[in-house]
Amino acid sequence: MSAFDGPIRARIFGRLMFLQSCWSYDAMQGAGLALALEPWLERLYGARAGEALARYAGCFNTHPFVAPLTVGMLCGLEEEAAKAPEEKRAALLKRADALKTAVACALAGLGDAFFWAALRPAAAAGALVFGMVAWRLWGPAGLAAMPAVYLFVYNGPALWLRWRGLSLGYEWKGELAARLKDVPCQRLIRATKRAAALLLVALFALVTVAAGSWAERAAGLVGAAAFAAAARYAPATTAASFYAWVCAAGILGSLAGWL
Amino acid sequence: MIALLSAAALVAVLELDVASFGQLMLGRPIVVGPLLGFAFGDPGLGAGLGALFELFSLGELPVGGKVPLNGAVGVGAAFLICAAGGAAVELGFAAGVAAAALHGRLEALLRRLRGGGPERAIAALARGERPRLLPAALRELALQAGGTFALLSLALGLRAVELPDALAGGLRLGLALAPWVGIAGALAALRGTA
Repeated sequence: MSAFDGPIRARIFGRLMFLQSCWSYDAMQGAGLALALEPWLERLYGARAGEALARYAGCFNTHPFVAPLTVGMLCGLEEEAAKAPEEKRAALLKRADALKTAVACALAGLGDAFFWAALRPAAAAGALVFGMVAWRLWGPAGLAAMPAVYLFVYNGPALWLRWRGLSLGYEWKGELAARLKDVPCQRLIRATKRAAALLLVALFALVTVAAGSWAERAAGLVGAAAFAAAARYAPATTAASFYAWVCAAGILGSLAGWL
Repeated sequence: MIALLSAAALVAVLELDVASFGQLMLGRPIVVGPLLGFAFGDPGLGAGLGALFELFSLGELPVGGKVPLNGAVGVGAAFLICAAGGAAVELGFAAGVAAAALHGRLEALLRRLRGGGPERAIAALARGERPRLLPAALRELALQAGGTFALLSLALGLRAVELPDALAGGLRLGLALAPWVGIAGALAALRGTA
């Protein structure tokens, strides 16, 4: 039976929930990484686990859902180093440290592109469309479908990767980057973004149809067109769109009252 | 008032899920909004505010050290201000945005206060002590939840505010157009991250 068995993986998985609890500008997720690795390092080094923990006192940052891949890889590399002869250990640990930073940075980009920039909008748009349709069919009770659909669509792949990533990182160790090249990540990201765009367009149509009057529909379309034009020709003004929108509405109202 | 403060406490705990613990998306506006709505018997209001804050926050990516708009605090503050006979929805929405922005400052402050962690950990290890990582994490979570609860409790003071007609009209217009602008913004954000 492998030392990296279910119970130890469950402990690391649970501790990875705290990955960002102590986030700081200097160490970033460093404290969270040390917390996650602590049970494994205690198993490998026993009373000398503190020395091993010192290696993880520095800076570390990656996307939280792909972090288990890096953590699994580090578990595998630490085990290799712990079992190696004394004279080879330093070189193996140096390699582990270099791979930690390289893999974390590479995976962070993929994680951000898929989970934040693609899956999150797709899940939200899908849930909002589903919620609006459910509301029409079943009244206010149908709105419970909205968060349920969102959590199911988003957490399905996220939790799968967060759990399975530990085993995959442990199995692949230093070959993690090479193995991930076989995964069609960019195709998956593009497909998910296309789905998100289609769902947002569907939502736009639903909201327009559901509007109370033609005046409201027209105003909404003009507002959306104005925002799209601002996003195209003056992107900096839309960077803080939420704040800008509320401030503009307040100014409009005050002007209208004055006139 | 007890119900409102209890709801504020719930939002403060759910807010931890946004970045600090779990990230199971329980702190997203599309979840918090309907949850509050059903709890207070107004699912339409909760879901509507949740949908708006969700759309507007889709373009905000929490990459690197960026602290994006906190949708959980935004929708929580907005709902608590206007639920159960409180202030007007347009005021709640605007105040929710302000609360979400203020929470970002609070979170940035907490992150700065945690600085020096690696040096302290290495010093402790050099003395032969093991840093107590799990209690430290729990302490930070409690601090953050406490700060969020305090912010939301302060926001409840806006329930009694009545907006001047001119401002109310403008904010009402902004709220009416927000769904279309929010969707356009989400589409623009998709394009921007292509």
